[in-house]
Amino acid sequence: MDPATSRPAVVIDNGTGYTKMGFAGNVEPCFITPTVVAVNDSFVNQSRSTGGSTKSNNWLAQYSAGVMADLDFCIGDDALARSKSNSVYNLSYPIKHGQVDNWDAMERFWQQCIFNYLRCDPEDHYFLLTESPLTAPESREYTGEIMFETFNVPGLYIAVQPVLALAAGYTTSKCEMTGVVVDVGDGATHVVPVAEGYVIGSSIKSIPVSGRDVTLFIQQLMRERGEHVPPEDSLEVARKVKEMYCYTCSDVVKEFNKHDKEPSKYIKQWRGTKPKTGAPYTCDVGYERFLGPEVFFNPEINGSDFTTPLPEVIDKCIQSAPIDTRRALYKNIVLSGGSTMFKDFNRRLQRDLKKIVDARLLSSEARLGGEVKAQPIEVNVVSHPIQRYAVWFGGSVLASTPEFFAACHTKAEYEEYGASICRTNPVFKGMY
Amino acid sequence: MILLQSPSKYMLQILTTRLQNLDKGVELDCHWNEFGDVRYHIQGSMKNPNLLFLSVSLPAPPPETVSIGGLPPGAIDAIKSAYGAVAQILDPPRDGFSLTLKLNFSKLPPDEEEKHMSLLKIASVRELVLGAPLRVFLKHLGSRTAASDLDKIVALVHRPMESFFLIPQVDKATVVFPMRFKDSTDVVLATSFLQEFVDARRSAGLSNAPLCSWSTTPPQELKEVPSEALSANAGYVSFVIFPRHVEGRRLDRTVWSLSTFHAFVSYHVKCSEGFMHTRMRRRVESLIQVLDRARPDSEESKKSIKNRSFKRLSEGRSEQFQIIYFKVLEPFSELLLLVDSVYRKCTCKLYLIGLRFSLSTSHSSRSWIGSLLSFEMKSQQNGGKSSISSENSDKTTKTNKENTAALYRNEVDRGLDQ
Repeated sequence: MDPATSRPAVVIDNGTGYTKMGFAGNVEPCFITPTVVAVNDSFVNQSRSTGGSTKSNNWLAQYSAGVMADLDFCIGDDALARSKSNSVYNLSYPIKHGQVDNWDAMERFWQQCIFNYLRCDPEDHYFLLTESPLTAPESREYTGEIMFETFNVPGLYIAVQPVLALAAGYTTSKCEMTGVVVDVGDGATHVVPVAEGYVIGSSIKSIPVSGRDVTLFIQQLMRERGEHVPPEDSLEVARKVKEMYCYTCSDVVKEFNKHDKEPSKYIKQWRGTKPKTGAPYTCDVGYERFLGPEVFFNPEINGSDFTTPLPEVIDKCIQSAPIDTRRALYKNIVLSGGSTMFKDFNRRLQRDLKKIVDARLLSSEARLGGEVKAQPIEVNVVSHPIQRYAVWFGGSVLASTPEFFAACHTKAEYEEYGASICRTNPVFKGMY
Repeated sequence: MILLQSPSKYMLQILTTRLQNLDKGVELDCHWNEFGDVRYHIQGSMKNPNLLFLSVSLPAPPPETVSIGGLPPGAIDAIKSAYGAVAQILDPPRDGFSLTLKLNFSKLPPDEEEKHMSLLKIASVRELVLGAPLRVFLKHLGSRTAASDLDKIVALVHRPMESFFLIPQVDKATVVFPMRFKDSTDVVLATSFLQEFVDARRSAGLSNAPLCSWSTTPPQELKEVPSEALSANAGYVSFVIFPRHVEGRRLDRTVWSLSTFHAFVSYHVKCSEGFMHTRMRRRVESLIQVLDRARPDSEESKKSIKNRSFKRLSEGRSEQFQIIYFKVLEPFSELLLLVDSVYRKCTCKLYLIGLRFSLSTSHSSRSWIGSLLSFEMKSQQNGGKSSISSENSDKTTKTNKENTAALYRNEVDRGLDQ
């Protein structure tokens, strides 16, 4: 038997904002680190532009410097720190809106994840990676290519994020593989209906409002109010404010009144030091505490491009799913992703959704003239404490089952058929 | 990151967060693995946040090595002297592990700096346990006190069912690594990587580094060792360690570098594969750009080429273009090998520099590229042998480039004529 199957699989969930990585069978990922690579770009153009006129010795020095610069990179928090202190490094975000955008950076990122952070030998472990439901098969192939060719992994499974998020809920409460996953990450928001573990691809809804937009909105609010935040630090401060102080309110007008009546209770102080001079500063955190998350429920406060509130999107998504799954879908709406962590986000979502559903039920009853009485629809938004890395946890659960190893694409299959094996899910083996 | 670091990053993170949150104890139960089949388990309870149970399982020892109760000889003493009261060895260890330590945070030194140091030491438990026998021998070498059994070959485990060999002598010690790799590509890359080591050692700035040699057959000294323990598909590397390499603080780093040599090579083999891919992608991208420019304007407007696999890109084009692709890419494969050799040269040098200790221990935080570049400059001034050979290769690269460009231009012209 392959000795790699006796070792825990490596689970890496690459999100737009953060990457969660660790070993299967644990409850928490080993590392949650920003998905960012700091690369040394200073030689990329120079090594090309030097033509025949320069002396060959000089060219060689430049050339090997270029080679070395290609190897000079770091990821995660190190990368953020390094790019701040040194202007040679440029930050590159390999994933944009849930899709891998820069494969070079992605390959380097994985390399560091495996060798520097997890410190494991990739030949010793099976790997579980995740992808967004909208990933193209080509990009899945490319992932397989990198994993099998560069890292020689013995086996690979590419799972769909929302299914894993459902699987995470499955262990905490009950066995339920039907539900709607509302995945609000840093770069992308997807509403994905899943029936019995199968993603209903035609009903997936994506909206252009995500965690990043909340951060930008908060930054804008603070800037407009004239808080004294140094401009180079303001995005970082906005992100911290979002993560530490934001909450969801039930009614915006009431919340404004509450804040005005008791400012001492609601207005928080943010303390920081200026990055350049090191001088301390403070600023107030006021209305943005509840206005930030409000972007999901009233998107028009942020801009006029997109105005459909999240509950309405979820409702539309379920309405477009097959009719026999709809009740089950309303019953199990699962939150996942860091941007669903706002306090009472689930209650607000459930209330708004229930309103829409009840209104529709009432109107249909009125249309039928009270002859038929419809059964009330149960709406249930599930929230659990591990929401932030629910996808990773689901992956960890999945990869620790013995069936996982049988469902993986193996290296032998890759060598036999090529990267196209990654196009399909190996659960349906024999279909390619 | 060029050299692997001794403390385990994850363990250090667990220990520091535990120490910071001692007042609100949480349940802790983590399993993880490390290269070379080392397995860790750490457990802590809510009731007594000061106590942590750390279990380590080591790679399965091959028959030629000595092990006492699943641990290499000298490991217990090393732990006792390094950790003192902080860690207590539990006997017997937890089921499935070779060593279990009971860590007591209340016994940590009060000073913050020292606290951090002792956490670092705990996170380096791998170095301490696996490197214990090697450390003992090298210590004898450093103090020049002859060990009792001179000239006797010692086998030391470093990977599951695999060992490397140490031949202690009065004034030096020879370390021999049989190198094994699973994948055939890895074997090729590793072989040239290891040959590069020998070349790098010859360059001017590294005359103080340990002597190193590579051969396809096991060295003479190892003829007593059973042949199955010596099977290797990427040759044999030997380093000769002199007392100057194990003086004082250098000892720890030498022990770590030697006991993770295989991991180091395999890490860089993977890196150079990734690096070649980077260059290939960049090259393909630039070629596609030229192709797009050569295309008549009436065809579809420029598409972004990122984010698509090479296969699909080539599928989308006419056969003519595909022919051009392969004609252009063929000479390119030579180019890639050249690029890769530059990479290997640099890394080998860095490893040897590490062994020579011209870099400080905190070199990960320093910009290593700076030190390498200054080193390169020096060796170029001295006119080392390696720089001459790479100059040649540089010329080849350039002619290759020109050839490629000319060939390519012809092809495009022909393609447009037809």
